[in-house]
Amino acid sequence: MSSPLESLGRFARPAQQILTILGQGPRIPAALRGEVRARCGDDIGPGTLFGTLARLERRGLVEVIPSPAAPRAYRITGLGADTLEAELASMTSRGRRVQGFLTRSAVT
Amino acid sequence: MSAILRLYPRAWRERYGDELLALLEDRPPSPLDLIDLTRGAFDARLHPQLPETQPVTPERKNPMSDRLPGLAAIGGGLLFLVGVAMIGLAPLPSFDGYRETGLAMPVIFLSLPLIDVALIAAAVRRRGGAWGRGDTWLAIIAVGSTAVSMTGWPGLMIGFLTLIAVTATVVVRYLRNAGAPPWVVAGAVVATVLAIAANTEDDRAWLLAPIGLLAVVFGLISTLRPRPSPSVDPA
Repeated sequence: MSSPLESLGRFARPAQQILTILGQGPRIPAALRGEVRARCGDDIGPGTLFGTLARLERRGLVEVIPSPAAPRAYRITGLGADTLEAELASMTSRGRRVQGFLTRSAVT
Repeated sequence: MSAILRLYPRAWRERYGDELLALLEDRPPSPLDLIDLTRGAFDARLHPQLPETQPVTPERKNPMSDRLPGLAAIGGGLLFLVGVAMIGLAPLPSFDGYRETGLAMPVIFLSLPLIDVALIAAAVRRRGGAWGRGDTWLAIIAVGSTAVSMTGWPGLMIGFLTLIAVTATVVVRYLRNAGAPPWVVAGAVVATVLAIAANTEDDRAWLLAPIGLLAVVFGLISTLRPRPSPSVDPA
């Protein structure tokens, strides 16, 4: 099973992290960046953060909650939730394959 | 901060400018952040994600950056053909039956990274994504191995073999990206390795000409065809 976010190239990993955080609820960009650092250990730079958000928004995976006040919060869409689910399934599948390989290697 | 923001396209600034400034007020940017912002500005210009940054006018339908991979393929294909012709048309010496190839092999070596980079860029364009780390490394290795192959023995052999491996890898990535069946991918790899590694210095050099022609045709199609709209494959 291939990763659904693979086509995003270097933005695939931050996209996965952002979708995971937004899966918990809407966040403003500053909160997103802070939570990615706190929970995933990656410090996403501001250029990468907005480059990723722009890609996710263009693809309909996240959307902005309309609000007159800045900064506005982002939330995951239904398509984004499905993509995240597929991404996690892909990661689980890869993990199982690696685990199976390591188990077989340990036996032989 | 506004100086860095000006590096971004106008439509990008209108959409994300306030949010970016709010983010930077929340946490002042480090030197690494400034580098990341500059990189992000280049990305926003090279891969605009906002439709209004790329108005559909005749001038912008197929901008120069879209044509570069095609032009690289055409240039690489023509260089390859020149190299083949240099071997094929060289006078045949009497003593050993091999032609004096002179500059022919360096010319062929120079053509391959151009074709490789064109194929990498075409694959990136086809999947509608940004250049990944693997794409960048392949391009660097293709150019680097060509440079190494010009340094004489043993660099010649190391660079040449690396160039063959990189070219085969690039062909595999492109064909797999294009959804080619496994037997086509395998056949193309075998043909690529055999053709480039042939290193012929007699009349059989002309058998390599189809590679150059193929690259030129690929380049022409790639240059003239409009850029496909990027898509996401959530499946």
